[in-house]
Formats: sequence, C-alpha cells, structure tokens
Amino acid sequence: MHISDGILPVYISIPGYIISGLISIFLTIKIKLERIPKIATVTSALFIASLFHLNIGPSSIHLVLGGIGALILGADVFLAFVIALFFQAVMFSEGGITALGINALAIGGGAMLIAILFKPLLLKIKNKILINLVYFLAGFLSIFFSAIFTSSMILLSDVSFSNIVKILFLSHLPLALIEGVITLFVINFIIKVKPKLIYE
Amino acid sequence: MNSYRPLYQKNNSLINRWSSPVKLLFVIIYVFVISSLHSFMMLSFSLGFTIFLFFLSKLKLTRLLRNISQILLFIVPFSILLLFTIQGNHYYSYRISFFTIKIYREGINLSLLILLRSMNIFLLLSILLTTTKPNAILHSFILFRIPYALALLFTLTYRYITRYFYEAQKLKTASVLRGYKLKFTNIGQNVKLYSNLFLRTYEDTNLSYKAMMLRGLTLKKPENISFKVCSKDVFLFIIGLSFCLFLLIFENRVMINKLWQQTILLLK
Repeated sequence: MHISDGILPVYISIPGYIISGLISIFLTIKIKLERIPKIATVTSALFIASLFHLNIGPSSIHLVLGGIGALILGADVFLAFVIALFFQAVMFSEGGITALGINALAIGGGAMLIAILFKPLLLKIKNKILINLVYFLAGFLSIFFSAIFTSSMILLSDVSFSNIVKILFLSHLPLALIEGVITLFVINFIIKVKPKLIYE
Repeated sequence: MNSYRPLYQKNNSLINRWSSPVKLLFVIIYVFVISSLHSFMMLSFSLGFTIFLFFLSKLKLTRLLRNISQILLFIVPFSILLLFTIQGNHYYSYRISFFTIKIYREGINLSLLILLRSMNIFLLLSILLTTTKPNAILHSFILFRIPYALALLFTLTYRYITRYFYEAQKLKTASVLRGYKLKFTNIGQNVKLYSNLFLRTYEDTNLSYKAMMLRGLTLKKPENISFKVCSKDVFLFIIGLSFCLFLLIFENRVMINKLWQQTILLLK
C-alpha cells in the first residue's frame, strides 16, 4: 500500500506534504504532555507491526493496525502514522520520503477518518454484537479507505498505471479482512485488561 | 521479519564532519530534484554522484550492497508488474495456450526510471542517517521550526522501538523456560501475546516518561540548541546545490532554450 520513491511526480508529492504538514501541525498544537508516551508507544507498535510481511502474488503486504491505532489514540493516530511511515521509509525503504506526505494522507488519513467515525460510538453502543462489528469495521475500513486513496494517487500520477492499480487494490482486500479480525481480538483483549487505554 | 540494526556509525569522514542542518537541507533539496528527473542520463549522473558521496562517507561496500538489496526487495516486484501492464509500443510477446504475455517498451522505460530514482533516494537517505546522530537530526528539525512536540515524539518513538524488542525477547525467553513454543498459526493466542507485549511496553514507557517529567521535561522548545557552521560546510553545500541546478537545467534544457529565445524576441 505504500507508494515508493520515484513513482509520484512532484506536483502530487509536494501538495501531499503541505496537507500532511498542516494536519500534523494542527494536531501537534493541540497535543497535551500526558498523551505523548501513549502516542509514542502506539507509533512504535505500528512500526513493529509493519516488519511482519505476507507475500500475496507480486506484492507483499504487512499489518498496518490502523483500526487499533484509531480506537486507542483518536485523531492523533495521524501523527503516529506520519512518524511510523518516516521510520519505515528511512530504515527499510518501505514507502519513500518523497511519497511520505501522500502515504501519511492515505494510511494516517484513513485511520483518522475511522477514529472520527467510530471512536464516539464506543461508549454509546452497549450491544455486544454491534460493538464487535464496530471493531471489525474499524480495522477493515482503515485499510479499505487507504487502498482507495493510494490507488487514486497512483492513477492521478499516470493513467497508464490503471492495470497495476487494480492488482494492488485487489491484493489489499485479504489484508483488510485480516486487519478487521485482528482489531476485533486486540480491542476486546485491551478492554478486558486495561479499558482506560481505549476510553480515555 | 526485517532485522533492526542501529543506523548511526561513528566515522572520521568529510560527510560525518559536515554540519547537520546544512547536510539535512542539502539532502531534502537533492531528494526532490531526483524525484523530478525523467531522463536516464540525468538519473545515472545523479546516481553516480550519490555513490561518490557514499564513498566519501567512508562506508563499507557491504553496506552499499545491503542497502541496494533492501530497496530492490520492494521495487522489483512493482517494476516487473509495470513491464506487462503499461500499454504502448509492443516489445516482446510470448504465447501460452489461450493467452499472450506482452512486454511493452514504455513499461521497460518506466520501470527502469522508477528503479533508478528509488535506489538513488534510498542510498542518499542511508548516507544521511549513517553519518548523522539521531539527536543532531532532531535538533536540525527544531532549527527548521518543526514543532518541538513532534520532534519529541520522533525521539521517543525511536527509543521505544528498542524497548519492544527487549520486552519481546523477555517474553520469548519466559515462554521457552516454561516449555512453551510460540506458534504463528493460532491467531487468538498470538493476538493475546502481542497485546500483552504492547501493554507491558506501554506501562514501562509511561513510567520512564513520568521520570522524565519529574526531571523537568516540558513541551517548551529547548533554548540551548546550537550548531557550528563553518565556511567548509557552506562550500560543500554550494557544490551540492550547483550539482542539483546542473541536473535541473540539463534535464529541462530544451524548455529553457525555448523560453530564452522567446525572451530575446520580446526584448527585440
């Protein structure tokens, strides 16, 4: 799902940087000192999750944990992904530095959207089946939205990438299902052991 | 799983001694110049210059080969897909029973361009990270007016990554001592283990952060950040910038020539 260096033209990567930068600065200004260790720990977890790869056809995919990050951190998950993507790009060349802005918007933006949509529902929904569905959808949709955004950006850079975009999009559907299941298990476990982490 | 190795290497090279904020600024400009190049000649020149910087940094050849292999792992599958999916002038075809596999000339060109750009940028970033201390990079970010809270998050994340590896090692040792072998097939079991790992690391990092706060950590920007920038650093920066300008001018020479001729006509 990461777009590597050398694929996006400058007229897409620079606006991506500007928009990601503005969102990051806005979130940083509002940040409280007490939230910093929580964000840093979740960011490290997101980075480490990306080290586990699964080969699917011509591409390889890895866990993103966007849904989990969104439900724990709320809108600050965008900052977490900016930092995690930066470390992934410089340490393991997953994604790229020129595509960092667009990757942050794709993955972090998708997770932030999930946080805005689903985090307020956590305290309101009491039905067990519905709440589990929310957890599953948080994981599934974070990957789904990211895949749509990434595909659109690749297509915007060059229309001749249309066939490759279809393959990449379809290869992320199994990941979205896996993420949904993992989010369901993980959030249920965290709520049993340390609910304060989710509800704070 | 990708192995994690610390990046910074203490060395007495020219690039190591280059002032961090000046080096970082040059790398940022150069990275965007590389991503705007579309010709093989200019990309090859820039790759040659990057490899020259690599050897100036006195880094080992094995490191260069390892870095290149890492980037190839991600870019090669994508480049192979491009050969078959970018439509255009047909180059080669092979028939297998009902369908024909076709390779297109445009696909070959594009995949080679992307390969060259990615290798170039990744090599450049690995030079930056191997020759500059993480603290120096973060202080340079603060100098460039990146919000201090964001710079603090970068530092703490980098620090907590090693914490996870340490806790995971403890978890693995504890399970082996109890005669339990971790299996990757049972999702529920593994999720509980890794969630436990996350919670233990969170408790640990929370304690160390509280200790930092008790020692006076705030979100206020530190006042004592300073860098020594001498004429040698500026001279190196000017050389690097001139090379970037040469790449851009040569890449766009036809357009620049046209603009120049139009300007002369207008002035006449």
